[in-house]
Amino acid sequence: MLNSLLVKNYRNLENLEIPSLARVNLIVGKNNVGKSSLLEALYLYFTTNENFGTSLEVIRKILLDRDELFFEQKDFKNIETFSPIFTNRKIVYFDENKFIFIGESEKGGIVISPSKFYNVTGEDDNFKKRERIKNNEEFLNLAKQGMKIESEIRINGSGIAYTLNSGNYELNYFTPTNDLSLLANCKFLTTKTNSPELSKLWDEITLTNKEKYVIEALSLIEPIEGLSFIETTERPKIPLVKTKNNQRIPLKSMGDGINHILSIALNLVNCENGCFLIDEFENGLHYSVQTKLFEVIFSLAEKLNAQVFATTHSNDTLKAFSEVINNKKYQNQGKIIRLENKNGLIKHVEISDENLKLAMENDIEIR
Amino acid sequence: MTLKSGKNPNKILLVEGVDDFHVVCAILKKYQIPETFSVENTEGVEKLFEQIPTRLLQSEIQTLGILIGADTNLKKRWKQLKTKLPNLPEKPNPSGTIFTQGEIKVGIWLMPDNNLDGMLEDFICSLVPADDKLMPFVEETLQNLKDKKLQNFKEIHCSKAKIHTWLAWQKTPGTPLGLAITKKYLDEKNNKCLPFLEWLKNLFTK
Repeated sequence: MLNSLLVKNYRNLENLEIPSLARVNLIVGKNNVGKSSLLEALYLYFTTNENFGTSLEVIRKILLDRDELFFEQKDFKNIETFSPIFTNRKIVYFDENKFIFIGESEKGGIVISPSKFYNVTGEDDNFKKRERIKNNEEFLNLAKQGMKIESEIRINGSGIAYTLNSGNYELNYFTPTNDLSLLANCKFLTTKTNSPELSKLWDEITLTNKEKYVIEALSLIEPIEGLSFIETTERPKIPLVKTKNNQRIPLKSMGDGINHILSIALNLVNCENGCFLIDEFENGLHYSVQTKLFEVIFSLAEKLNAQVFATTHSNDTLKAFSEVINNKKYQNQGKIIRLENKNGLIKHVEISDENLKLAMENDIEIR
Repeated sequence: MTLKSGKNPNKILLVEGVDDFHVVCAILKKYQIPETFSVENTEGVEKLFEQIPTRLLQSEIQTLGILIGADTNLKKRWKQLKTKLPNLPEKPNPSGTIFTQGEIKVGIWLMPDNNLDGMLEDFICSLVPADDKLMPFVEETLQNLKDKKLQNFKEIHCSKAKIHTWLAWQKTPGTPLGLAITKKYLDEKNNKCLPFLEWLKNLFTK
């Protein structure tokens, strides 16, 4: 679990410090203050331990969700594919202060560093070594000498390399990527494309206790006895539920709310010892269900030792969250993270449980 | 229901009660002060104090005005404010205090005049026209009550009794404080009102 967070140069989060985090965190703030960017940064952080292919796939999903991946950018053929995730959409080489950093504190985290290398031939002709270019001056010098230079986007120790070819940096070799839906214990639920396929998530937990948790969550809206996914001619598989009267009906026929709850529950039970990220928590949910759903999330997160981050624009969601964290049972388990744009710099504003409660009681706008 | 007026949620004047709310709204209307800020009734002075820290965290807040009675002890009131607003100056400014807390402009007006103990009603009493013919009778009556040991209210509430008695004897008996300004019973052109208006202007329009 992350206890604090420092993000640097990730999209508009130039230098965002959040001194404390809880098990369940609700991110609020005006449009364009970087709520989704913060979720993306967390997604990168929690998945980077896997391997480089996974990180690339995570970046692909992030870019796809924002329509930032098209034409020549596909399959990372051009180094500029990466530019949207950097502050000001600009890849800056040689300057450590412009590298992306995501971690608990300065002490440790992931670093995404654009770097340039050249090949040195050693005394022994068979021995070739890559040298990192230190600054722009050295780069220009080497380029003048006609030296072959590679540019790399490095994530911690590994990188994807490009060679300059008639003005464009082109991919040297393809790095295989991984299927994210099977990725261990970090899930990102967005309102857009590419969310993990639900039937796959169900397969991961089938015949375990976690099945029960999912059905309990669905029963918040209507009592349900069983859930299954069935094959259709068209993918993906569709969820069917068994009702109290022994009827089999498609879950979709029960409305958007219950489907959103299924996504949340299935994703969360697959995040044991990991992290679950939800963009726009309130999507399709009536206020009366939100409090109960938060209770389910708080108790599951604790049971599974998972950390949860959700964004919202809804005052109802904030109110539901406030009710739950002011319940003794969940004390100190939840936290509001408010992002604010202060003269172009995105900052975090600390809001205590007490302040949240007062704001809700007196109708004070803190979103 | 909390009373709220005005359209700008980023500039707020907090008042402690329904009378304060209506008096402020009437004065604003009378002087045609543009609605560049909202007036909100916190329904009690304790609640007003309780709200201050959360108000400072309110999204996009720029200006926070606070209008409260000095009550029986102006110094104590100031100390209470200091616990919620660390940047509060040592003493109240006689023309209304204005300072910044973080990036937020904060203004304090202690009723009646940032100098004496008292409350809204003392401020309103000061707006009774100087040549008013009824007021001497009101004062005499209240003195009579006191002499005959019939004064049920606390000494601090004298001005309350005074202004409400005076209003009970007007053309429409029992006019509320806010309406009394609208109906011109009170002399809002009285220069006692001017420093307050000046403070509002400095706080919210500059």
